[in-house]
Amino acid sequence: MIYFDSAATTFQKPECVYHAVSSAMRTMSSPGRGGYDSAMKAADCVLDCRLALAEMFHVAEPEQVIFTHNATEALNIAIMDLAKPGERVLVSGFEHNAVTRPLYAIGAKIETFGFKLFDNDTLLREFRAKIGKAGLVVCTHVSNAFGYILPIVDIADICRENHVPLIVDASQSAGVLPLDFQKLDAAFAAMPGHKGLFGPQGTGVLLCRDTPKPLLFGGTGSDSKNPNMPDYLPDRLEAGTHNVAGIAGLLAGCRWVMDQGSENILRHEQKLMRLFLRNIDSHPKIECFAAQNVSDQSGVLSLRLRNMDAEACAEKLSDRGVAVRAGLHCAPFAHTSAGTINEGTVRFSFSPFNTTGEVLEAAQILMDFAG
Amino acid sequence: MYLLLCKSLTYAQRSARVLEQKGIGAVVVKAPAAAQANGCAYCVRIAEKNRMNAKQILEASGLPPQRVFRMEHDTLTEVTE
Repeated sequence: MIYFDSAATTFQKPECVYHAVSSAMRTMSSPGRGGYDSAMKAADCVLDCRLALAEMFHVAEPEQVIFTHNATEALNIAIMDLAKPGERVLVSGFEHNAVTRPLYAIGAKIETFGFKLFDNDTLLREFRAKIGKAGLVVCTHVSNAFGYILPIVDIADICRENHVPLIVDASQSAGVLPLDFQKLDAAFAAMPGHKGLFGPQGTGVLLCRDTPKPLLFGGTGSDSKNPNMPDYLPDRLEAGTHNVAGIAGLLAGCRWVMDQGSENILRHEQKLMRLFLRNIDSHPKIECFAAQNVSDQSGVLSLRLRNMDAEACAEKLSDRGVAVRAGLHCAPFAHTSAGTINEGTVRFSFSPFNTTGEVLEAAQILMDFAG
Repeated sequence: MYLLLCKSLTYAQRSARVLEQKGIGAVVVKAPAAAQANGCAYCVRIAEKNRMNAKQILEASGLPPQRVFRMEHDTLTEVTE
């Protein structure tokens, strides 16, 4: 199989991740419960992962690094803490349902900025015009559907100037693009462990500037007589048993990313995306959504065929051994902005484990049945 | 020996690591029932001779213990300064 769906989850992991998960399952029990060897080993692993993530994202204290089960849970914690019913919340035109659905559920008034793909100047102009009355901003760093890299540093600066809290969805940028949590001064940054950080599924991370309300209530292995959740991090946000094997894998994945260098990973993915684009762009029946400047787009490319719907195209590719995702990618806002809401797109998303050969082979397959 | 009660497991681990880095032997242990105000807590266990030094190091690191106990012959006595 040629796997081009890393934006959904990175299927191919570094060997060290498989090893770490297996080793954790054999040697670690639950941290924060007992005081025996396997419990303390688990506790050390969990702390090491917090420390690695704190280093990677420039977080002041490891307690500010919270483990969740995915980015969706992380975003829910952040949004449920800051958004209020009836309050104006600004989101980009490229947000995922993990951002918009919690906002709808709370009854926030969602207002959108930035509808043009790969146009940061227009996006920032619209953002400056609309931030005045916003109570909160939630913004993706990179569009999962189109790979559009939003100017998150500028957005954070504008939020700070206007004293409006910011939640960053780093689902598609963690592990490939720099994210300095302290410099951004965002209230929260949410990310999955199982995409660009190469951890297993069932892992997510929330970076917290302050101490928010918990989303989940239960045992924390601390302050047990207290009927309320502890008022300190990380315990306040981590009720229940940790996914220790997952966190062990996430730790191995983070270390691997730091060894490789996220900038090298991004360069490789962008190179593959551009190679794929060059090999298919001239086909009259294929419409690609690509930035003029390489720096405006990650290793994700969406396209559509003029004579075939996206799901049919993805099915044909799957029959020929190429794995992609078609449809709306849980991001109807993004597809509305791009004008593809009716039928969606076919998304190709690359990883450091993909090769030039795979890209050329997939391009040929697509050209063959594009007609 | 002395037990430094910490507000969370994570704090206890960080405290132990800081002390170890400074050459003070430190082990994270579950707090004895008598040391727990609210149930379920973790301590850092250190040798008596290192108590004052450990206290200074942890305070300088932003990790002051919540409470300090002296453990002798299974008897726990809180130390207040």
